[in-house]
Amino acid sequence: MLDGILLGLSTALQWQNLLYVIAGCFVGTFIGMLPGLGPITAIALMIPITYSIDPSSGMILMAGVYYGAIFGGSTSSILINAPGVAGTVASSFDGYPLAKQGMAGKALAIAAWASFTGGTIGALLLMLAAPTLAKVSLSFQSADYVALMCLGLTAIAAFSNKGTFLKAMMMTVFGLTLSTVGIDPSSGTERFTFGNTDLLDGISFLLIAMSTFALAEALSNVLKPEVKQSAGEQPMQIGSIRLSKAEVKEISPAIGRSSILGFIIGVLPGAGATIASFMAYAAERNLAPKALQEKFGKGSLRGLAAPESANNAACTGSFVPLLTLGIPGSGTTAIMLGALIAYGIQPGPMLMQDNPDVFWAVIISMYLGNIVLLILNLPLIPYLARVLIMPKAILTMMILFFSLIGVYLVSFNTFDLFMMIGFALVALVLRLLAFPMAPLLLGFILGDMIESNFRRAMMTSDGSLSIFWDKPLTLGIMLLAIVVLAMPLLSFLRLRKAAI
Amino acid sequence: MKMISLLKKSVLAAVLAGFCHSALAELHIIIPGGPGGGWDTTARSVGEALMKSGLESRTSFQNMSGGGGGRAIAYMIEIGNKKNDILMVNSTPIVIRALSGAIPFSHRDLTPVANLIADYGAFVVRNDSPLTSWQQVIEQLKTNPSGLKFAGGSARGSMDHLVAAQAIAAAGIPGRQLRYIPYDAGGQAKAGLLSGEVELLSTGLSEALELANGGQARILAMTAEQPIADYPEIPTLQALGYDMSFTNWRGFFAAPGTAPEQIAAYNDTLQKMLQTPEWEVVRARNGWINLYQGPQEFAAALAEQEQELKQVMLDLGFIRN
Amino acid sequence: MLNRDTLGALIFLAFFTAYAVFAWQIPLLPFEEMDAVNSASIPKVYAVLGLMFSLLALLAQAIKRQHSSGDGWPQINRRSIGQTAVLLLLMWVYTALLEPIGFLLATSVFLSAGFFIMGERRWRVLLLASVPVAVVFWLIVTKLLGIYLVPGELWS
Repeated sequence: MLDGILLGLSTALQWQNLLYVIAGCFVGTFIGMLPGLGPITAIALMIPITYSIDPSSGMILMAGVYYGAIFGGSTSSILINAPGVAGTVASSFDGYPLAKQGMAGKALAIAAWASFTGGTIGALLLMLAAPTLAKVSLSFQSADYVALMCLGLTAIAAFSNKGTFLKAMMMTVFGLTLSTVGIDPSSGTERFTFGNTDLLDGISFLLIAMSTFALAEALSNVLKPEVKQSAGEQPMQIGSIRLSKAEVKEISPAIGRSSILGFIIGVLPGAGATIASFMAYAAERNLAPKALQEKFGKGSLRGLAAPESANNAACTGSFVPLLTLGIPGSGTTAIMLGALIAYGIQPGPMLMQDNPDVFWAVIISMYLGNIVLLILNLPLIPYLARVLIMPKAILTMMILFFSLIGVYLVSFNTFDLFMMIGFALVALVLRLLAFPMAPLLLGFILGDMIESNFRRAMMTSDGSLSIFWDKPLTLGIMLLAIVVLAMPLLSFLRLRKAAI
Repeated sequence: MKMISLLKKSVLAAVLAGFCHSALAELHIIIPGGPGGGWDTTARSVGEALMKSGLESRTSFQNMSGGGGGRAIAYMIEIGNKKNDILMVNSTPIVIRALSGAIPFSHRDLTPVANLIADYGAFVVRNDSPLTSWQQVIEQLKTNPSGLKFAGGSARGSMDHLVAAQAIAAAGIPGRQLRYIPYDAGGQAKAGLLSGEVELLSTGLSEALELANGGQARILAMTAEQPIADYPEIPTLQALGYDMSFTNWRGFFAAPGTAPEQIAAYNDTLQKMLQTPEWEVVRARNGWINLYQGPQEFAAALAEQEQELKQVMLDLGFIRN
Repeated sequence: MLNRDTLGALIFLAFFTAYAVFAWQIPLLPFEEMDAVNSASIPKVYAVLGLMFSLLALLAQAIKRQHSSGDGWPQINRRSIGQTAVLLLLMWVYTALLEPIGFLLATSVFLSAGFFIMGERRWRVLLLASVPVAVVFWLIVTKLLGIYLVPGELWS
């Protein structure tokens, strides 16, 4: 294995590959910051360029773009509450409050460091255990995914502080119902489409995220203008990007735990960065001491660090099934798989033997990509954060524009934009009525996966529910989910008892 | 003041230039799916071959996903001949979705130009599976038609399901009883096969070859009429004695009412392209198989496939009469 | 009497009732009608869950009202409501015009009108802040990334 690493290092450190990593990170970050163009589009657009260069360099370029896009997505998530990449939604829960409190610099710095650590730990685990991990990725079947998603749903508990539990649940079920719109993938029946062909494919995640987060946030800032600052006060601070020793000490264990959790979830073909980020967020909130728990959702450092490390670790983890089995776990890795095949490289158990240079080059370049991202982005942070200081009129219009055009660039369908405007209005009203938005996204994202895995599990078990407790793995995860979900329910009942 | 008026003038010029440029004639290809998908790859690869071999000076692409491809078709019908040189790429699912009513159109609403490549269905098992041949599969199914689970990367009633059902129907087993487990995408279906959740995988030959070449799976049979030159050892269902074949073609369509001379011109270009070494690079890279069919042949093949699949879908209960 | 929380619960009650009605009307394909778990199963579960939570919320409100007057409404002035409404309308107009008059023109108009609504009145600033943004964006997307943007159906 050592020669493999050396081989990978020597390939990755060639000057043109270094150039590709840097270029990829830049391009990826830029594209990730624009809401609509996510990693999938970015990589798909890169593919023709990669045909003219050799395979390892092509993969290195694409890996750079992939990670850059994730970081870019975090940036817009934290600064303007406009998560354009599903994996960075959870970062906005605590990242955006931090930015509003004048600590945007610190928030972006935490995001950068947490992502770096997550990706590095992921790359380490990948190097040490790739073939063994391949077995892990195949040990999950549909019922296990259902259990995992239920565990992910328990993250709602993280949004139900004192009395908002029912509101959070209503929003979650709302999200779940939105995920049922469109053609049911298991059977082909049309559901809730009202004869509209544009709804056949369902509602896209980007649409809902942009309208309920970015658009609604921008509009609600117009609706409820913040208190005018008197002439002597400072304008909105960015804050320094330095972290105090105490802060580093506080978030390190969270980062470590979230990276490992995120990596393992990434290894599973049916789960990716999004679930990983939500679960890490929920896990850290549940593990935090009571005093710190309240801070989650209002600017907790741990609450930002956890999903950031988890999503990068998960991205790295998703390379395991791709490289060792040829199974793409997400849209992005599917495109990378296509690229690998197009280069004539066969991913699978043979990859390490037949094309060790590609295998190790990809892994080492992931390391490099992480380092490059950190070096590139830390100095950029003060400039990126300047976005917040823009005059409100310009910032608002820019957010409206980017949100609308972002969704348009994905589907080229103005119907989607009309839907966005409708959702933004609904979200605005819901915000005024004090409903939390995050559970909506959570329900929507998980709804799809819960239903299709559930239907599949029932099909393979011939309609018997016992499939959910047959295997110890499935049973274990389900019990964990029930326990975690029961905790806030119990405290809610206790509160109601006190009120009566 | 002068700076501002200069700025205004240059902006105006840029805007006008933008309008002019986009009004120039060029080959424009509509893709009914998102970037990175099968249609997208086909269209862009064809464009690449056309430009690299010098047959076309410029090709541009427009992704119009939505409605299972219906949106792109609606666009073609509406815009069609108002613009020059627009083609749409499509494949067998258009026939299936037209039959099931998922899209309110059919291939008859467009003018078939030519078919370029073909993919076939294939049935795959894990390397360590006790099933060693397709005949064995049929034997087991004869005693218990729902005994074996087939995975597929698309919904029930779509291509992967239909092909598998048709295959077992050709052996006398009622297709309705096939146990098809749908997955969200090809990758997930592969995971389903390898994790042991299902026994067989029904997928496209190109995907099956990925698995087989990776050493994790075996291809038991495929649905071409003749064995493939590159892989003669994979048996066709016909060779095994079952009268069934299925082709997933990928070709181009033009708007309804396009002049025959225009269609002939397209065909001329496309046929030339198929001969070029640039196309061969693209074809080999993607693992496609050339299957050129001119407009009449293509239209006839479409009609035939439509009839065949309609019968299969009726038998399986996917459409009511 | 009608406080925020009650209104919210009522809205969701209405929504989930409507959802339930449609869920029970989902047309099933012939081969599905026999299945225990089919396309309509999960939507029905969601409908029931949603109704349950909204009713619980209303119940909780009824109980709480005996003890407190409930949350107040946020302070919003008329001007802000007007601005927000016009912005929503502007977005609608932008979307409607995007394909007919083309990306460049529609975006420039959208951005300038938006700045105007937000209070910017200097027309030079309006134009300079909107047109270059539209042009640069158009250039990056069509030239650099190769994505096709409609140039305006009215004149092509």
